[in-house]
Amino acid sequence: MLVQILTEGFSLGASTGVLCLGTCAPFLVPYLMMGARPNLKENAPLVIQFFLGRFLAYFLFGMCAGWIGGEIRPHLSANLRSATLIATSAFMIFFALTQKFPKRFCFFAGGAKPLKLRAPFLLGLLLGLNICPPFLVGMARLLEIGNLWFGALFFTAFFVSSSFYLLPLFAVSPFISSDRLKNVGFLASLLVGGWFLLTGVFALLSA
Amino acid sequence: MILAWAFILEFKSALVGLAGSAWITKDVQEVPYCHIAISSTLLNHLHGQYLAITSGNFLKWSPLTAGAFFWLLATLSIGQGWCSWACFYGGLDTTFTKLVKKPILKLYHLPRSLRDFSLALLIAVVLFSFARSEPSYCLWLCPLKITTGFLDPNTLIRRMQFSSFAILGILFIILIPLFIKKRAFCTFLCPFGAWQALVGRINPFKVTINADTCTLCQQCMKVCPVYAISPEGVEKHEVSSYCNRCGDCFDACPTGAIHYSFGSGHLSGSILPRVFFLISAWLVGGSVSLLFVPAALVRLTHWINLFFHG
Repeated sequence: MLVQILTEGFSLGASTGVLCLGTCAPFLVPYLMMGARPNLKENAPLVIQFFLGRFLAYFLFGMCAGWIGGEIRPHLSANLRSATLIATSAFMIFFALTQKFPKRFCFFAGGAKPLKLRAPFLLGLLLGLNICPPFLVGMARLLEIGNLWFGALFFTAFFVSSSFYLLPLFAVSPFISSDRLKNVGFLASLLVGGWFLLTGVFALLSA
Repeated sequence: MILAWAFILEFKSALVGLAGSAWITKDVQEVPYCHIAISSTLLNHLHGQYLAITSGNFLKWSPLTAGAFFWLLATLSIGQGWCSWACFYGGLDTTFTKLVKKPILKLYHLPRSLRDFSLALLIAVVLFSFARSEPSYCLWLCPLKITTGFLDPNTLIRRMQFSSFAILGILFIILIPLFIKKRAFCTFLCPFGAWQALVGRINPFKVTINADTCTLCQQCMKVCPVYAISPEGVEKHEVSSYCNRCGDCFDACPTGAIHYSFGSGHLSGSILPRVFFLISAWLVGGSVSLLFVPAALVRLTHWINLFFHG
């Protein structure tokens, strides 16, 4: 059963990773344009933090889904999807504004720098909680199984295989690191954040 | 301009005729295919191509690839020149810039950060479209979609889309071009313009400013319809990649310091690049206009006949 769960999670991530990319890229690309470092070595902490946040989100979500089982089935997907979308979009907009206008946000817990340092982890965590179609498929399977540790293992395997689709984005980030593109990244963050925020609020209200 | 209005007269009016109204349509199942849609749904296309190839169905794969091939051909021929010589939308805001002799609001240059808005919009719509598996730009932001069927079954969403198209259209195609005498839709709202500014670099034709004869008078900057020349650009004798190769600055330059050239200034001042570019532009523009202009003339003649003879 253990091998089966791991294989199922891995296969799901590998086969639907493009959709994971579609969910994460709108936030990750503008973020990388704003925050990427000029070389791969300096980008390593950023990548590790991002994947750590994403892994934590998957692991915890997997445990919860496996543990609670069928009890969360009726309401979880639609409302949680909207709520996480709103949270991620709000974070994106706030992050972009703090980085562009650091002096205006000096009131915020020691200024913009601490947020910049923790942003990859927070972004990974929030994006990890964003419910994309493959995530829903995985959740449906776990609700059926109803076991805490199987849930965690399933999503760990899912995390590993789907991460391969995101890695290339980090590889190109040094090539898009310039002041001009930082500004474009800022504008794109506001546009993407605003667009998804409206989408999330609309979905929540009409749910 | 002729191409743009012929497009409205022939293609768009036919769509309204088919649907009965621009507000509620009967059934138009597909988003009309245009170059703006291609750029803003780039990742969706790549994903679709990938799925088509892996499905082994070449027939599904080839029509989309043909679109990419024609785009590549046009880009190699005229590059960013597409926007001023062949685009059947660009002529619309150009028309309104021509209605006033002098700009009411003298906004001759933009900060670089604001000029790059279209590039940010391109990135945002490409990613958003991919995330939502829909042509988001066409569904929400394209004012030129106003005559076409809306896909959403929800009436409220359809009305929101219509309002968005109407507001953006009135602002960016009519009012702002009238006030600043610049192509506002092409400058701020067209993702294809930003896309061509990026990939159009593969085209050999460039616009160059001759440093020896330039007097730094900034007339070129004032007449540039898409803010491709900045004050810093004039000082460095550089034209940005947003240049549409329209040639307005050539006529405005009092010393004739601006020319078409090959690559980075080769044969600048010679008649050869100009002749080659203009022939390419007329060929591409003429080929595109064949899609609408003859049919628009027939339609117009029919309407005139109806008006006079009943």
